[in-house]
Amino acid sequence: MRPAETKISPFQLAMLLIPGIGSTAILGLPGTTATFARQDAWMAPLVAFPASALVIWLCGRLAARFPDETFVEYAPKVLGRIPGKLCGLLLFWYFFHLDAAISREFADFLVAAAHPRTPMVLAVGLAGFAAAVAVRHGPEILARLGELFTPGAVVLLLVIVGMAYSSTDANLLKPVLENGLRPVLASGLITQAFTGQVILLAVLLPSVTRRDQGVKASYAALGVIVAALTLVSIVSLSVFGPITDKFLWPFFKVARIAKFGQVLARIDPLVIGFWVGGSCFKLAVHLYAAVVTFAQVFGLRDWRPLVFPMSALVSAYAAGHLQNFVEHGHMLAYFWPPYTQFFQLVLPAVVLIVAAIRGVGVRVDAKR
Amino acid sequence: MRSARSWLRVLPCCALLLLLGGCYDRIELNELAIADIMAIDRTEDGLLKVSLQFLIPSELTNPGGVGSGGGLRDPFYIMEATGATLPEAFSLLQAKVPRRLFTSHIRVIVLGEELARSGIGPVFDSLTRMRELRISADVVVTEGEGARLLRAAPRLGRLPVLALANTLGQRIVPQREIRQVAIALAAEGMDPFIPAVGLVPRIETQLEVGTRAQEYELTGVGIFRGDRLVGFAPLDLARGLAWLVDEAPFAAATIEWPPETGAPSPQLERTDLSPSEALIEREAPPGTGPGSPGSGLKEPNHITPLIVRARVHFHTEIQDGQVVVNVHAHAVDDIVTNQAGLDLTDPKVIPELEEALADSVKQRMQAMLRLAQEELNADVFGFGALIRRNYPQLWRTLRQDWHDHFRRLPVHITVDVDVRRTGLTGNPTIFRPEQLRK
Amino acid sequence: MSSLFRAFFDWLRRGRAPAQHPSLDDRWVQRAIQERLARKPASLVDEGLAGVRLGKDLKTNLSTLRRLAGDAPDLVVRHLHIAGGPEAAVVFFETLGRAELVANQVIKPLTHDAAQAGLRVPSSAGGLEAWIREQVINSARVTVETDLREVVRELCHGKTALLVQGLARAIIVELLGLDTRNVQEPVGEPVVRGPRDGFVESLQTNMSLIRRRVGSPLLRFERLLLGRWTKTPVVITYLRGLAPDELIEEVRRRITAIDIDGIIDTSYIEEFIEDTPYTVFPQVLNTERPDVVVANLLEGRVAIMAEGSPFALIVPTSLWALMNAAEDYYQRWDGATLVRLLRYALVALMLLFPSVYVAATTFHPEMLPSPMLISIAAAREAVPFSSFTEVLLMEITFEALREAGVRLPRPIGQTIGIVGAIVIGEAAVSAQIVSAPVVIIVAFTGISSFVVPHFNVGVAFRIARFFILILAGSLGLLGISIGLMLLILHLAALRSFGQPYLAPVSPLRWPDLQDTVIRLPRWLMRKRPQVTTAWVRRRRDFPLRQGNKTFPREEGTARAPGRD
Repeated sequence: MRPAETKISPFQLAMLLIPGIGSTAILGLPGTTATFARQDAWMAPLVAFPASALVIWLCGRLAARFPDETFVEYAPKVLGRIPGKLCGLLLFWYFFHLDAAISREFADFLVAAAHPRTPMVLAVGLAGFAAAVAVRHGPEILARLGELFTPGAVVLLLVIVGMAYSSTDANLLKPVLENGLRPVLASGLITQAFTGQVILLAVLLPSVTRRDQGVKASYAALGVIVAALTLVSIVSLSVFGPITDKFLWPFFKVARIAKFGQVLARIDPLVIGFWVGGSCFKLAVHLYAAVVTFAQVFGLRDWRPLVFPMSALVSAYAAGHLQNFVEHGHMLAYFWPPYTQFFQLVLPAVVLIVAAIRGVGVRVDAKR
Repeated sequence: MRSARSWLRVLPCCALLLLLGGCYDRIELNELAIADIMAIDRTEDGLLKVSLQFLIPSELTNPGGVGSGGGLRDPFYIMEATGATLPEAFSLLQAKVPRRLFTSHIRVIVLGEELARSGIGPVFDSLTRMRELRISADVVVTEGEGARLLRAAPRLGRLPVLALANTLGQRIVPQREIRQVAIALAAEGMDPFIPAVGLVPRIETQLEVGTRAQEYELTGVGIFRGDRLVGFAPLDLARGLAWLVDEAPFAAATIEWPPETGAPSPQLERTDLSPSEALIEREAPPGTGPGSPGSGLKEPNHITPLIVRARVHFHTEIQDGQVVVNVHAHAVDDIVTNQAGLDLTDPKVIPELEEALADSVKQRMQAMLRLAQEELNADVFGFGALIRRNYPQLWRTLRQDWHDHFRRLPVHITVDVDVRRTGLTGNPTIFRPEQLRK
Repeated sequence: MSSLFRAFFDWLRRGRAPAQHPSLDDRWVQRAIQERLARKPASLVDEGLAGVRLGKDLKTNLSTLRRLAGDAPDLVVRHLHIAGGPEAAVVFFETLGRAELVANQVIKPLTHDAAQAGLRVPSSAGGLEAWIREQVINSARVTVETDLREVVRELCHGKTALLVQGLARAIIVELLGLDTRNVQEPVGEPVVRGPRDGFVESLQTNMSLIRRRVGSPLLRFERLLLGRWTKTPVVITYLRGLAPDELIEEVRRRITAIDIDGIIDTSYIEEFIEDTPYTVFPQVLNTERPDVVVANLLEGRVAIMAEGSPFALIVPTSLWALMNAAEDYYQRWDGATLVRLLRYALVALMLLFPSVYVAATTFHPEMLPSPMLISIAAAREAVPFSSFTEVLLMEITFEALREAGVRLPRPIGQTIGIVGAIVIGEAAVSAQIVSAPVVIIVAFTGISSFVVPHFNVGVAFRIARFFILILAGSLGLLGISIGLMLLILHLAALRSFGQPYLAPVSPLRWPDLQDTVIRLPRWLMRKRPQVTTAWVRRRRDFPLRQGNKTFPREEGTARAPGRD
């Protein structure tokens, strides 16, 4: 008796993407975007939405041209062997670097919020270990984990929002667009660095049972992520107003003040718990992407033996490559957005354009 | 096999973790000194004196140990230390306390007058930055030394902090959390205010004679300009402030009947007094002596409503090139006392009464407005932020010297009062029908 | 350096099969089954018993038989003359058959009745055999064997053999009536409402309990003999057409692969057929209740029963099925749903309460509300242990009490409970060795662990609780989160006969959610769960909604594939 689920369903893909992208952005993003856009920061995710949708569209088109192949497999067919492999390697580097950044952000938050005396290496290593264990089980099990995790996280998010409602003041969101659109666009770019992580599809789409449905599910997942980020930004801004950008994790602070009567208060540990879970999950999804791209670039038959070594490398890089949190924050705000756009938008766009010009791959029906 | 292997990996790791466990962040409850109130004062040489009240759990659960009477020990004790910054004072304090300081459960932070007058901004940096402190802790100011408030042993409630927090929670004056004060400090066109609390001697029972026990009392509101305390608004005006920030008090506000049109009510005339004088005055306001029921007809007497529900709306408009703030308050009242013998069963009386009540509220608000605009020049109502929201362009021209503009800012107040119920009785029980005022 | 890399990549390349995704072939159990099947002897022939054909001479046959039966003292050989004519012998184990039944049903008709009726004894051997089988023996089940080794095997299963002089075949008569326990209400799974019969140790009885409930001829029993020495009859039961063929085949394969000395209970089988042996979570449902078996057969699952065991195994199963009690299906759906929610809540609490307490008191005191913090701090003031040690000690004490209570005879068991509660709880608290909150927590989690209807699942969760507790004690909230994540990951990765353990929640199958944490009213449970073959998903038609269409045919196999 063989299980049919060695591939993941479109729904599972969405459940993989939502925590696989949204989980780290939820807590920290409003703080970063508010530095630029101040009370308009809640528009940043909406601004980023079309750009991220474009990433999904690119991945969908590429997957339609090369069904059942990942980016690393079709890039050499389009660009030629050496440039193609190089592109694959770049994509691997992106996943690797991003994975380290996730790990780092996870550890920074944990140390700052809950375990001030715990060495960061321990937090990074533990999360890396948990993520590696998860990745060893393969994408299907990861997706199942996502199916269990995502609804709980969404409910928690809504509960916090509901409980924080009494502390919100909509006036703090005004005036709208005080300084014009530029700051909003700048913060949108920062958000795009997060939501653009849907580039995961370049690796995940071949594992989905029905590709076109998978692309639709990805749009839906992006919609959910953008909605969640907008909601979180609105709540953070309307609770903290002009001091939102002073906090590194505004939504965590929101959870700290959220209460419902005298009974239900102090739910921030729950947030920490879910955040640990979400970060490990995100770490695992990107670790999977990194390991698979690496294995495919070098033509390895199986990616599994790579998982634990790669996880160790990611953890080491995460713990070692940045000096302090200020530098990390600066990187997230100034260096990271344009840097990631190269991988998230430019890379697939170039491959798709070249493929279209050279006419490589399955001819795509123009009507669809 | 795969999951088997992963489990085999997990188990030794757990064992290792168990060994590691003792190292990081681990502390037992009986190694913690749990603080519940913090007072911050400024010493003469400009340093911060931090006083912390610590709980003694074993005294608390000991049935006899509650309260302060009977020669038993208090369930708390107080230690203080002086340092340049808050964390420094904390670490100096740690040298005097045998257990690790634990500040997460601080519910009220008391700021001494000296500190408040010299500026609270630096302290608030620490208050929002330090991990353990809750950003939702209440902040109060007090006249004189802040640490004094820690020494009170109120009779109701197991702990001073509970009494203090509950006193604040009565919605007589608006409560302020660290977060709200920090927002007011950071926002444009907004000055913070912080409720003021003082001590009042308790009426001693026979057992307590000579103990000179004290209770907490809300004395009004400390008004800040920027981060500096510029004055106190007494309790009556603090209620006006509550209206003006749309946190109307659940309080009774007595009016005279029949109303002396145009003349301000006696209490409100005294806004020019210093806060302490106003306080003293407040204890025996004129004209509140109990009128005899029979004679109630002849002299003006009092009607007291209870505010059930109140909502205040703020609008701005430009009149003759100048911004005008319109404040519209709407309240629903119950009449709880009718010493004036007004015929409350007469539908025609109610609008008159409503008008009188509205007038009293309006005067209260205007008095507060005068205090803030003319005397203290502090925009605690956030009218600047209101203008910024509604006229961002105009705000840029006002931003620079907002306080000057604020002093001259025209504010129009309109108040609507609905009397919904008249308590448990219709007409006063003490009057015969023919004695009623029509 | 480059050669080093090359060596590394070569090593990686060699590593494994090119499978990109994990498939079932890759799983431990599949490899183990392959190995077992390869290792197992082609036929389960025991040395020394290899085919011994019956001869015509009765004496020789009997002596061979005696030798094959190891000169058993309880082997009865009764010589007789059929109707005063041909010589014959009736052979049976007096410990397995009932002597008076043998006398009444076999011996008396052969000798007394046949002689009295004056029947003519056929002279030919073949005629004699047919005459005995068809006219003389008073038993419903009569077979014929030509191999002495088979005869001995049948004797060992409680049958009676008749050997006749000059006949190279043995007539095997089955006489039921071994003493068995009466069918009673199962102790382990009592219900307030619902059938009260439970399986007993007799496979025959157990099969009858199932057959009585299923009228369809598509109910299938497949009989196998398992155990080199015990030769235990094992029966695989399913409804043909409902249970997928691959599932039946897989069950058959896994069971035939078992090579073991003996099967004493179905739990022996369970350990061999689980998908993941290295886990605390059972992947096979066991039940004492025939109604539960039938309900599962109707959902396309397969049951396994064995002689001598009152427990049937049901595969595939899921965590949700293991958390359900039979009672849930007999009470009203709304009440049952609430009870289930309570059960899940209590299990979550049991899993996390001690850990959260330890994490909150030793790592995150800011988590606790102030009044609670004060109470706990006061209680802990004089306790010498860390709260982790405290909780661990009390949890172990509780487990010890529970174990002692189960093992001891019932009257003493109750004493242990009282002694445990009073002495250990009360005394430890008043001596300030343990704080009162810990006693409350341990008692509460202890009670909660018993709401799980299946004992082995409760044990699994209790073990998982210790795992999380240790992580909480060393890493606080981080430990709890990581521990929970690993636990859920583990559960998500488990399978029961290829079915994901957490299905239908993960992977999500909307229609199957009807019977998980909630139980929908029966008239809303229109479809069978996805274990069944796809084209027989609908449980039944609904005359109320769809008009009086044709009643669904009983035979699922006969249905047109297009019809749902």
